[in-house]
Amino acid sequence: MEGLTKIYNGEVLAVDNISFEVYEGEIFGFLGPNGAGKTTTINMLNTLIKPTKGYAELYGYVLGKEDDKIRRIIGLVPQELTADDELTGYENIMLQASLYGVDKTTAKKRAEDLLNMVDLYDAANRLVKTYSGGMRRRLELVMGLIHYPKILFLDEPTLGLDVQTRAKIWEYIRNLRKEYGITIFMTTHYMEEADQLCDRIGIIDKGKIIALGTPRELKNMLKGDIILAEVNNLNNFDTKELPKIISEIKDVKVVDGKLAITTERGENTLPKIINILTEKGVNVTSVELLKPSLEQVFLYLTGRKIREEEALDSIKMRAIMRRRRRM
Amino acid sequence: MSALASLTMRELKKWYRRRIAIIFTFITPLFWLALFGKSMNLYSLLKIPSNVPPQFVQFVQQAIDQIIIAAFGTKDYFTFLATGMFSVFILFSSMFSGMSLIFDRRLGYLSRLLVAPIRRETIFLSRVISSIIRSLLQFTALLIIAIALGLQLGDGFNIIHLASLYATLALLALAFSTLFIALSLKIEEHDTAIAITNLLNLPLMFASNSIFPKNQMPQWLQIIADINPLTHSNIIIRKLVIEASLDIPIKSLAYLLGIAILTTILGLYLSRKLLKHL
Repeated sequence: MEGLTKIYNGEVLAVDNISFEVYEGEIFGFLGPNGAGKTTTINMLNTLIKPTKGYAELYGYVLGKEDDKIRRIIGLVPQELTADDELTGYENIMLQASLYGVDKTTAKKRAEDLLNMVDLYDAANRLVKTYSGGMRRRLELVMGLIHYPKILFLDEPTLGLDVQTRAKIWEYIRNLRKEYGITIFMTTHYMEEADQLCDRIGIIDKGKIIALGTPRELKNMLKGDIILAEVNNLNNFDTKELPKIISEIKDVKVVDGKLAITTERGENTLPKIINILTEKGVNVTSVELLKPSLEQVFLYLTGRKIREEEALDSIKMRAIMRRRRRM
Repeated sequence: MSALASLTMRELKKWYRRRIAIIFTFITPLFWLALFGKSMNLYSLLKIPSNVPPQFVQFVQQAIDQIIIAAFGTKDYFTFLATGMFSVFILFSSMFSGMSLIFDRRLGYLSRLLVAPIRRETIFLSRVISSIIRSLLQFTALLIIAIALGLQLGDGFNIIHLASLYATLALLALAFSTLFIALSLKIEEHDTAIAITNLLNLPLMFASNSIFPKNQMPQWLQIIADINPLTHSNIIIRKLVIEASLDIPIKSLAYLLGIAILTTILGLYLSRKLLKHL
């Protein structure tokens, strides 16, 4: 994929000239806050929306030119729960199979396997409106898989699920890769999910990919722990002095009036830092020690926590989408 | 099963499962039939006054009969109205055929269909076919009710007339459902669709020969009635049902056929164009 861009209404730049590659058989995760452009990217790749510009290829098929062939080899599990709730789970699955030209006998066999895999076999003949949120998510998964796609797009597969159900879904996803060798392209704004599940992660923010690599590679970018310190009267203190006094400190940034200190062995340097700051007349009101995680990687790269902007961005984004649709 | 057949079945299944909603489809035409059709008894309104000399009663009665028959094609206004309501019923039941598409767009099911390797026209056609089937099944119930209420079939009405009646209504259903589904291809809110529907249903009904004959209308209204497909299907249906005749005016049949072909082509073209992406 090269230079993929989507501009809504000629004014809102949702995805900005991104280029990356996903390898066959891997679980690739797109991590970023809501409104970062994850879903837009997925929807461009699955032919649902038309890229403003850029080039993409899926298994050799060119996006925009061979959409029908692309549609044959991809499966989509969208963010919203979109199974028809006036039909039963089984009816939904069989209908989905017929859309992909899977014959009835094959579809039946596959449906049985997949339903068993996600523990939904017993509920298959119930109307979907009687399902719980977790059950509906699992049904969506089965529906996305019934035609045995080569690439499966999972858009926030565990959005709004409780911890146990989320762990279960992760297990299914891992199973899928193991048993069917499917390439999985997923989006998430859960750090833990990306860390646990993905072979490689692209961190996306404001429509741009800001980092790409394995979870380990990304975490290695941090070069240590992060200490977040809320402080008063910082004015007469030069933060550049800190690394000179304590050699473990790699970097000091001021983010929203907070000190963000990157350091090795945070447990040991933390008391020293507080001492020095107090000596210099800086009043420390609270501290937080953060161990390397993708959350910290995002913080390190953008200076923001992923969750802080999440609510705001998603509301803004939805308003924009609504406006766009009306036109 | 092919994608078209499965998607059509989906619509029909959902319709069948909403039994309560089906009952409501009948309410409006039933009101017209039972309340309006039965209370508006023209024949008894024109009863011969008691002061008419007895030797003229027979002539006056004949004159009244001829006036009514000339206007309505039958002495029984209820039969005239019922045969007019058949087409109106098809209009009403086809009007909401685009609704499922609007809901599919809102609920995200449409995305599912759009990423599938199916022809865009399939999405459109499945709604058209299911809408026609639905309309004709509901019409069967209406026909039985109308006969029970006193609809008088013409002498010699047989299976061929009945089949032609269904074919005419199917053609009308095709014209209306393709039109209303095509209108719904890009609509996001169902309120918009309901507004369009409400804007069109009564004017279409009144500006036709469904309730009153066309020839007593003012000139300008006759012109509107002439381009209204309901008028032409009514002409054909009354010929078939009231006169039990297969002598259908070619003009009306050609007009209906032309409209249906036009709206179908328009719908297919628009679905191809508008359902390419979300």
